[in-house]
Amino acid sequence: MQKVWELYAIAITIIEKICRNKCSHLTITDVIEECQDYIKKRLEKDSFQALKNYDPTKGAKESTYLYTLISSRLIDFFNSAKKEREISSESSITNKSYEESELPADVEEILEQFTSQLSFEEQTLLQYRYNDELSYREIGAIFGMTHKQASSKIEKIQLKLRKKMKKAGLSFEVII
Amino acid sequence: MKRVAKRLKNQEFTEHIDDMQLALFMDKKLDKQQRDSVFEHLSHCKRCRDVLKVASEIAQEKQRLEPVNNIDYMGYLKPFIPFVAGVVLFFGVPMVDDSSPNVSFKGVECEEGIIDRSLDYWERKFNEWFSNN
Repeated sequence: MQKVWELYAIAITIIEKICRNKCSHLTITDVIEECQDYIKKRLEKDSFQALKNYDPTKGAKESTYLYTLISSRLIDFFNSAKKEREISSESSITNKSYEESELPADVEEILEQFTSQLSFEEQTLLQYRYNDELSYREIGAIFGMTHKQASSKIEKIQLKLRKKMKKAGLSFEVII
Repeated sequence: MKRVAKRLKNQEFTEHIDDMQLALFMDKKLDKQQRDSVFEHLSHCKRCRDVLKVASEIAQEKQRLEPVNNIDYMGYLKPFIPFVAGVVLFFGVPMVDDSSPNVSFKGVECEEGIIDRSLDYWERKFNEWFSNN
């Protein structure tokens, strides 16, 4: 249990980082207190069942299990807080999404085909890079590789698409 | 590429990857099939991608805060060992200089380098001196 709180202390620094990005409407100390209570309650649930679920025979390190345990509770806390906030301020939301310029039908078709052919690993990498907007360094840290390896993996996907478009006699620059 | 990524939709899942599975994924202890199924979920689930991201951030922060107490100093010094050994062999072997003039200490003749002599040496010398006088 002591280890969990040691890691929790480290997690506080991460919480602060997340707070600066996501929770501008609340003060950081408020969020940290709220988050601490939430994680405490979730961990104490069913007399620390989550901690008891750790099975060393499966091969994962105890520390890695604790990282995932704490981070999943952290994310759940922020997601629930986000939902509450969305409900309370639903009326004030203005839709700021803008329409991208439309692509020709043949390009659309190729993109559709291309995305369906991507492996799940490639899809995850693209999600992290372009939708979650992580840097190559961050992506590398998640998958245990260097930022160069991460960038080359994503460049490979780009190259595949470029080849596909060239084969169809289309310019890759159309989609940029 | 953003246009391609935009086509990848996130879904609302009621069940997520459990903590043990994610830990095994992070430690690369899953076989290819299990790893692919984790990737399948991650590609559509923002929540699990965030969990994985925060877990890796905690791991990095922990690594950064841990005291560095197991540096392999010998590993760093290894390239210099032949050089150091050479220097010791060349300069460190005592060379007997027979040509050094003797000095006298209270009438007792002794070799140069008296500072380095042992206590036995001086005891013997003083005994000699007292017996002579």
